[in-house]
Amino acid sequence: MKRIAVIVFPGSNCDRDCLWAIEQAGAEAVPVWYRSGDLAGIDAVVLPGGFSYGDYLRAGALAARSPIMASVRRFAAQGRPVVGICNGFQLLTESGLLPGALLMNDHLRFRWQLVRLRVERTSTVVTAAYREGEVLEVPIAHKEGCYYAPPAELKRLEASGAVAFRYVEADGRPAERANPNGSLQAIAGLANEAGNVVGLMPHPERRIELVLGGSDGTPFFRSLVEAA
Amino acid sequence: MKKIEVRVQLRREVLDPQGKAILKVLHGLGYDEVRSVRAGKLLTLLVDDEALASRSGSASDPAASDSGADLEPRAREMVERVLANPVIESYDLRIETVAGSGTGSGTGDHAGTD
Repeated sequence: MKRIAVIVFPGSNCDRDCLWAIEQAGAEAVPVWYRSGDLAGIDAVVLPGGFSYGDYLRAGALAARSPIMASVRRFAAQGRPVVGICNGFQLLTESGLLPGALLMNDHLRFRWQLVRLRVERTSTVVTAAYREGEVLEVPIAHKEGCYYAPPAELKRLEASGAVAFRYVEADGRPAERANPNGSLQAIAGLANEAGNVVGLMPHPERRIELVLGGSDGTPFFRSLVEAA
Repeated sequence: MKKIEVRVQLRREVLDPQGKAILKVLHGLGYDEVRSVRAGKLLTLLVDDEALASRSGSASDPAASDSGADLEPRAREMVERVLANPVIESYDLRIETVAGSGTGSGTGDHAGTD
């Protein structure tokens, strides 16, 4: 059975949800405390949501400099799957594993709500089981989720198809009001060129069974288990 | 002992919604002359530069030590590795001598980046 690690930092709070989602998708879910630093025998890594290190300094900044991230960086460099959800996405940008940064929401409020995401790219470790252009309904829960990259970088990201998820209307069209945080180009999630490192602000692990209101997140974890 | 003060701000081209909200409140209070507000943070580090010098084994030039010049590259390294995120933030830093070293209060280089 494939073994997928969920890195637990002080302040992580979506780790249990991710462990559950991984198990439901048919892999062994392994919680790894941030101090252990050991990824031996692990097939994929998930950086969960929450408030690692209390979001001190900048969201994800301190966790990104903890020793476990050196192991995660090596793991990613081997082409193996590394996925960051919410605080995990912030961590990936702060670590330089993904470009850009996540700023405070343009309206300054923490926002919990359902959003619609369009799958922009299926060649990643978490989107292979979706169809390109498919619209998903998943929740967000963050205050620092406004994606920013300098103009040249943003252009490069769009040209290279790095964007994995975008905030859209229910019919799949982009619209100002569908963007919950002011993200540039309504970017909700990104992948590196190889597609093995993916970060996104929304929480697919909160949408994996009907009792939670929907299962649009299920293919996300099925894809991950397949790719691991 | 040296005190390093690091001022971190969002880069000019990055939207600062906090600054905008503060500006609005100031205008509401009648301070119409305020044209813009940028919110940032100030980090103050107290550094034992003598311990650093003896550790690195460099018999550093006392004049350079007074001005904090030998500490500056290391301070910048700290800022660029952790304290500021260069993708979205700019910073400037200031190094000064504080009581304990008996060398007065020479003000260090006050350089900025953008």
